[in-house]
Amino acid sequence: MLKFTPKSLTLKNLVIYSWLAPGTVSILISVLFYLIAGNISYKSQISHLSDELGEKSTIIARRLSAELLLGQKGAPDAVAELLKKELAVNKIQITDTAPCLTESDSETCSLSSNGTLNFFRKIPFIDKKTFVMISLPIKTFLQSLQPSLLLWIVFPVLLFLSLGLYFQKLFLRKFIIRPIESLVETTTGTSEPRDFWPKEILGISSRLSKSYEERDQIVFGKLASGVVHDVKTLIQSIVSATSLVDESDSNTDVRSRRLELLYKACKGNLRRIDDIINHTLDGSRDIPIKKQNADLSLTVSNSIQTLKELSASRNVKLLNQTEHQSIIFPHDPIQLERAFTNLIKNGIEAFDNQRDSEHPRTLKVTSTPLESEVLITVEDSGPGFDVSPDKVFKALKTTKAHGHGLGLFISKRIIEGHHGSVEAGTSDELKGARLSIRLRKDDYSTEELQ
Amino acid sequence: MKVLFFVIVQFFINAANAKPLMQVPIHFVEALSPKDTTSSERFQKDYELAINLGKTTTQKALSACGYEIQTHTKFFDSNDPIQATEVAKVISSQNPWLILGPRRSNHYLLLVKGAEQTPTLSPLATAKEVSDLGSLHLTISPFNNELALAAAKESKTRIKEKNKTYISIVSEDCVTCQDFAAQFDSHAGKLGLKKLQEFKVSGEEPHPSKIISAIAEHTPSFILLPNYSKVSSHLISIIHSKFPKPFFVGGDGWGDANFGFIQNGKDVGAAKGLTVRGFPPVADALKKLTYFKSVNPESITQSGTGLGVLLMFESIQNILCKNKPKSNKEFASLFEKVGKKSFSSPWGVSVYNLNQGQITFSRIRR
Repeated sequence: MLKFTPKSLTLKNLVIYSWLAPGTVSILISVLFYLIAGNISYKSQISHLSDELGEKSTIIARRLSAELLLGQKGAPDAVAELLKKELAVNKIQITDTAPCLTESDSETCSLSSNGTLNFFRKIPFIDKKTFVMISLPIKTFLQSLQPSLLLWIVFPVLLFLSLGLYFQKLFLRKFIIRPIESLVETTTGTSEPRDFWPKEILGISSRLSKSYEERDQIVFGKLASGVVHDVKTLIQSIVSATSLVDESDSNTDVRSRRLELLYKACKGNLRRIDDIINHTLDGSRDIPIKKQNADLSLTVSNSIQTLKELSASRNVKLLNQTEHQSIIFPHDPIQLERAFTNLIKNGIEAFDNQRDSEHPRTLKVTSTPLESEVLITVEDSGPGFDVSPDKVFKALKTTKAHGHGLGLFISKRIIEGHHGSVEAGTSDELKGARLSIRLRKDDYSTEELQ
Repeated sequence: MKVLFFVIVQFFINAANAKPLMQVPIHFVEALSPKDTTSSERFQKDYELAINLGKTTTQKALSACGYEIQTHTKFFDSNDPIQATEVAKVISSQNPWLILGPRRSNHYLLLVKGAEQTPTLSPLATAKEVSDLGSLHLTISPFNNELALAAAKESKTRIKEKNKTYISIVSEDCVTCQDFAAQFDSHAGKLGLKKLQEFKVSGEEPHPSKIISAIAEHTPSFILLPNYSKVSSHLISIIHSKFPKPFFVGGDGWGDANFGFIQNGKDVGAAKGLTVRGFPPVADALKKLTYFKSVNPESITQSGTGLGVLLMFESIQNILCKNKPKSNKEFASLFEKVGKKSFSSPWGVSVYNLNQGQITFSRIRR
């Protein structure tokens, strides 16, 4: 079986290989046909030649019989020489044996050897067994083959194969590859399906457009329900605080405390609303990465520091195993901090889904500088991921009651913006979720740093 | 009335005493060349005419002797001479009294191979081998020894040069040609004619390049061509076009004014020569016969073979009427005893000239 490397697995190669097998078989069949036909023709020629020699041998044997009967004055040799020219044979010889004669009462036989066909016939009216042997040069089977004929047989096959290959490549490019390329554009609405596209491609285009429309609706619906719900909840708490302020007109102390509550509600909730809107926007646009040589341990520590209050409020023990070492590494500390914050926060919030309140709540962050990369792991003793690891970072996927499913998605984009990777899995140590972030040291060029 | 009664009674007495005629089957076998249909057809016609004339002329006399000749004619392809043997074998099984033919020595010798116990006669065979066949197989013509002697003597007379030299060109596949050449050489040596060289050729149109060189080198007085007319005509044409001087001497195969390829041969041109035959012109030949001397020579056969047929009928009639054989076996015994004398040629050896493409009778040389 053919094996394709990722580089060789192209449509063009697939087309060539798909033609290669039938093409090879066609040529082999053509050559086989040529050899069979050549063999039949060769045997027919030999048979015809043998018949011709048979007829000639009758004439020669009779003439020589007359000369032999006449004795010395007859001239068998002279007559043989004369008949050789007259009947266009290569050799005439009088002999007393016919090596090919198998039956004693047979009078003729033929024998071909070394490119010569010898025909033996008993000379009539001579008492002693005497034969005349006449010979003609013959071609061997291989010599009888006409290469030009083979060319005429194989040439059309090769021509049709080449034409088929050419047209298939042409059609593939015109009616498959280009339409598919255009399909991408049709899904964004920048291009329209073309009339000359094959029906199948038009069908796919139609289904794809419909699918994107449906997906847009779903995305819009999810975003709307998640974002609007979160924003509405936050705004409601501000509205409630505002109502409390309105109800405390006479009592200045109460009013003062309520105003402070309103301030706190506004301060906290408006920042969160801003975050939600920024997250939503980051999900649909490029995130600018501005790298600089900075301490990655510090970036990680900053994220942990930001979430200390949150972890304390959720009774989660947050362990930082990056503080003891400094890892100077070119990165965007603001964006990476944001990414790590998201990942850690996601882990802390996941404990909300844990039913067993007695179960120890631990989240550990570790940074390990390796030879060519830096490995940061975030692992916890929580319930783990309830979806397969490859779907963890999909947009709009969330297990939280008020999440909009963009946190992990955006974090992944930031890490990938640093030429890194993030994988989800299960922690061997804490038995909960584990996220492994790998950032390659040598993937940063001087230009990027500048 | 008495006379009428006597005639009627006599008629019935004769009818009662009349014996049925004894049938004498004689087979005529001759070769024809399919390559030369015109000449062959003419020869065939002439041959059949001679048989018919011989039969009708001798019929009455033979009937009076109590015999009737049944003629059966068979022609074969001269290019397939073994047919002569095959035909002879078939005829031998039919109890024939006599087989006449063929004219050529080769064919006749082959015929005898198939009919060794049957009396056979050739009108023209001249080869020495024929004389060795015994008294049951004879020829009407004089043998080569006689013909060659006449040719040698005539050559000596005709060639005026002091040193009379010759080159001979002989068909290798012709028995009588080789025999004639050998006989001629023998006589020529005694007559002071010197042979310079001999060439063997085969086929009807041999390439004479070596011969041409030899003639140019030796400049012979004459060239001996004891071959059949086709080969001789071909060689004369080539040699004469390059060397007009040499005289050509032939055997009995050159043909005559009526048959053969030398007469009116398109390239023979002004070549001069002589040839010898066992027959004079028809008019002279008929005078030597008993029953055919009064026949108009213009109206009958013009070939030597035809004359041989007539002579055969005349001789057969004589043998039958004189000896009254009762069966083919008795006839065979008689043939052995008296055949040689009865069927020998009365005509001697005739010399013919070749001049301006014409073969004309010169004289009888005894």
